[in-house]
Parts: sequence; C-alpha cells; structure tokens
Amino acid sequence: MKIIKPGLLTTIQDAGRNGWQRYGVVVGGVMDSLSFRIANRLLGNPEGLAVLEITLQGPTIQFEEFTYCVLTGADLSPRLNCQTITLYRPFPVHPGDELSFNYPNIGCRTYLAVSGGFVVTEVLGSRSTYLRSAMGGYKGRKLQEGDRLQTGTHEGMDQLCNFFQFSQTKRYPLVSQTLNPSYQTYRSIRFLPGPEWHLFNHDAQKQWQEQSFLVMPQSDRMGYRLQGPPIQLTKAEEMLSSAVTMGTVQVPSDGQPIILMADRQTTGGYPRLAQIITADLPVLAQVRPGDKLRFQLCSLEEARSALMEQERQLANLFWALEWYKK
Amino acid sequence: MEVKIEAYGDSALLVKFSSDFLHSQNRVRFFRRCIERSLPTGFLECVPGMTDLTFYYQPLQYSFFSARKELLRWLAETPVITEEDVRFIEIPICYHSSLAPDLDFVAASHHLSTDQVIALHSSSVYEVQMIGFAPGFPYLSGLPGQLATPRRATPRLRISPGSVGIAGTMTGIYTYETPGGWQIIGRTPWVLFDTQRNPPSLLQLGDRVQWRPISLDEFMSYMEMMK
Repeated sequence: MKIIKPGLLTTIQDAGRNGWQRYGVVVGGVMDSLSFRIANRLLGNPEGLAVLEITLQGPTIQFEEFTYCVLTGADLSPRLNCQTITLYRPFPVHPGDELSFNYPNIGCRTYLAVSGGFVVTEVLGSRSTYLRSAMGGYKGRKLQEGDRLQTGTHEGMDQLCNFFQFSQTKRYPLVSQTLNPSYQTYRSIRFLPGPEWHLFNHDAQKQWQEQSFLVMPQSDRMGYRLQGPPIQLTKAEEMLSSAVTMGTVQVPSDGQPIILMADRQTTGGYPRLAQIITADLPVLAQVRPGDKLRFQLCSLEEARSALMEQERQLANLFWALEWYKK
Repeated sequence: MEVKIEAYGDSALLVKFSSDFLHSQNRVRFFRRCIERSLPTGFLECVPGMTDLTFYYQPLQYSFFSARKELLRWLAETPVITEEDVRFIEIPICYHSSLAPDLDFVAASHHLSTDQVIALHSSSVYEVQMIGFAPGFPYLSGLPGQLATPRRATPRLRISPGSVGIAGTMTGIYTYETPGGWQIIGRTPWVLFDTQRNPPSLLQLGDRVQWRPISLDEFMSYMEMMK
C-alpha cells in the first residue's frame, strides 16, 4: 500500500521494545495497547503484529493488493473511497481503493491493522518506530507521502475467508464501548501514590486530586505536559536517577506535572508524584491536547481488579471471535 | 544485605537498599548480576537506578504481595559479582578542540590549563554506575574532584554520538545524536551502542573504564575504519 497523504503523525508501532530497558533502550510501542490488541484479534492476526498508529488527522492510503483491514480506537471519520467505515469491523480492500479520514470525531489515536500485519525489519525484537533515536519502524521516522508499506502473511490466514465473510454480516460481535478507551476520556483517571508521594505536602496532594489539569499542546508520545495549580514539594530535594514508566507522573521544579507515555526514557530524575493504574493507560492515550483531566486516588486492590475486569471483557470478545472463526 | 520493597504502581516493585550497602563497592556489582540473571516467571524487566532497582511484573499474574514474596526469594539467591570478574576497558578519546566545545570552559572554571584538564581526566579509572537517559548512555564515576562542573545552563540542541561530557561529578558518553546539557570535553570514535550486538550496549554496570588519549588524525582514521 502507498501513502498518498501522511496525516499529522502516522507511525508503525507494535507492543514495543521490551526487555532492553536495563541498557537504556526506550520501550515505545503503541500508546493505546487495548485498541491495538483488539485490532489484531479482530482480523484473526496473532496479537502483537505491527499496526499503524494514526494521530488526530488521518492519512490517505491507497491499497495496491487485496487484503482485510480494521480500525480501532479513536473515531477520526474514516472512509473507504466515499463510504463511511465502521470501527471495529473488518473490511475488505481492493487494489486502487483509497482509505482517508475526515474530522477527528472522538478520541486521539486510531489503529489500522491489516491481515498479516505491517512488515519492517525488527530492531531489538520490535517493529515500533522510536522517532527520537530514528530507531525501528519505517526508516525510523513518521510516514511521508509516497512511502510504500509491505504487509505480511501468517499461518492460518487462508482459512480465515469464511470468517471475513462473516465479519460483513450483522451477527458479527459488536465491541462494547467500554472496550473503546476513546469513549471514556471524560471520566477521572485513577492513580496510585508514586515513590515520592510523601515528599509532597498535604495541600499539594489535595490539589492533585481535587483540581483539573489541562493537557498542553506540547504533549506527545513521550509525555503529556499538564497545566494547573502548581504542585510544590515540601522541600526541594536532589533526586538520583531512578526508573520511570508509562503513566509515571513527574513533577519538575516549576510544579507543572508531566505524565510519561509510550516514548518515555527509561530513567528520570524528577520526583514521582503518582503512577496511573495500568487499566486507565489506554484512556489516557486517547486524550487530546486541550482536554481537561482529573485524577482519583485508588488502592492496589482496585487497580488490579479494574485490570482483571478489562481482561475478562477482552477474553469474552476473543472467545466469541474464536468461536466464529471455526 | 537489607532491602525494602515498595509498590510502584500496580505492575512494578521498587527495591531500596540500606545506605551501608549503597556506599559499598558491592552495589554496582550486585545490580549488574540482577540485570544479567533471568528473572522469575511473570517478571518482565529489571531497571537499575543510581541507588535502587525497579522490577516490572505482569500484574495479571501477581498481586503486589505475591510479587514481593517471589522477588525477595529471587534476590536472596542472587550473588554479588566477585572482584575478579570486573572488566577493564580502555576507550580511545580525542580531546582536540574541534571535538571538545566545552573544554575551554571547564578549564577556565577550575583555573586549569586545557592540558591539565586532559591529564586529570585521562589519568583516573572510572566505573560504570548506571546505563540510562538514552540507549547505552553510561554514567561513569571516578572523575577527579577538581573537574566536577555543573551542566550547561542552556543544553545544546545537537550532540554528536561518541561525545564525552561532564555533569557534576559524573562523566558520560553520548551514544546517539541528541540534545544534551553535559559539558563536552572530548569524543571517542567507538560505537557504544549497536542494536546488532547482544547485549547492544558495549559498557555494562561495574565495568572499569580508562581513557586513552588519541590525536585528531587517529580519531579520523578510526572514524574512516568504522564506516
């Protein structure tokens, strides 16, 4: 397939470079792991094949071969030729078909999966694009006009014909809105106290939980810069570098928190106020610059049961898909 | 060895050590052993910080308490690397002014000549304390006290890979072209991070590093060789 117009930021991503953080290698990978996993499963792909992560303003893509595709996550008004595409429902594409996007309706990032996944050389076990080091993905960069992408094959793809035909019918399982993080961005994001939570005084902790914070325009795949009432440390403390991860909330000396996202560095030196719970990270990935966020303290038990509930809903969906594939 | 294990979100554990241990030579060698050993099942990564270790685990497999229990068991059977296993690595460095934009500043701020700075910097034996900030970026301790210099007030927008810098009491080596605030006093022609190697990082925690000063001509021929 060929890129006619690249859109704002379109990159190849997968689950990221896991296992190399001890050597300082950034994990990267998709921002919204939930929509990513669902996209591959809806096509009968193995989980983890590379997809396109499309941000706010979508690209125009021309297909050169027959294949099946699916879109999950944000609704950026996708159209195939002139026809509206339904998210979470695989659709066939023929040579010459053009996929394009209109206005960003809801959410921030949409995922385009193709049968067999996108194929680029793996770097340290991942096809993810890490822009800052120009590592992985398509030439280490975001897609540009004229780029041609290869798609792969996987075992069992031939047997999926009936499944794809079935996916065009009304009986195809609909994915519940609770599994699309784009529809959840209004609610507050749950967090656990970060390693340096105790360095912030009661007022600062209270402000973090009671005020709303604006997601600044400088926010990107590395981190979201927030603007709100300054959150001050009880006393300035020199921090030694320590590990940070996706969802870590750091507070630099200006008191404006930063939530680290997919392309965060492996370690950081700012006090870590909070850690967003794993189950709420996909919602955060669908937040747009200009949105307002609120944060809610929860317990380890709540964090784990939220994740288990999400996984249970996923398992139900995957089970239904497997059943129909037979 | 006393350890304290805290929850770090719902899928990581932060391991803190007693200050005696942190000030001993064993710290860095123990951390090295931890990142080289295979982790307990359901554990994904071990990331060393300057004084702590973070372990990421699969939250569907473990609760905080079961993960902590498993990790305590694993830590107890992790030995410290013995002194004999420590590697010595000699790295070529060129201090020529064209590759060392901050050498004059560092010399001036300590009332030293640039030759004195070079002599001091290359005479010490360094130890890799941490790898982080960027892929393969080593933090080296052992900088002679007279050379400790704060970071630049305004970071440079582009630093060439191989550039050797000073920040506070640490020396570091840039592995990728990135922005950065370290005071650049020289450059090595060696490639410190290569995704085709395993491990991709040339330097490992606990490695001892010595600098071998080379001329600009030698630097250029090294660079030619690497092409």
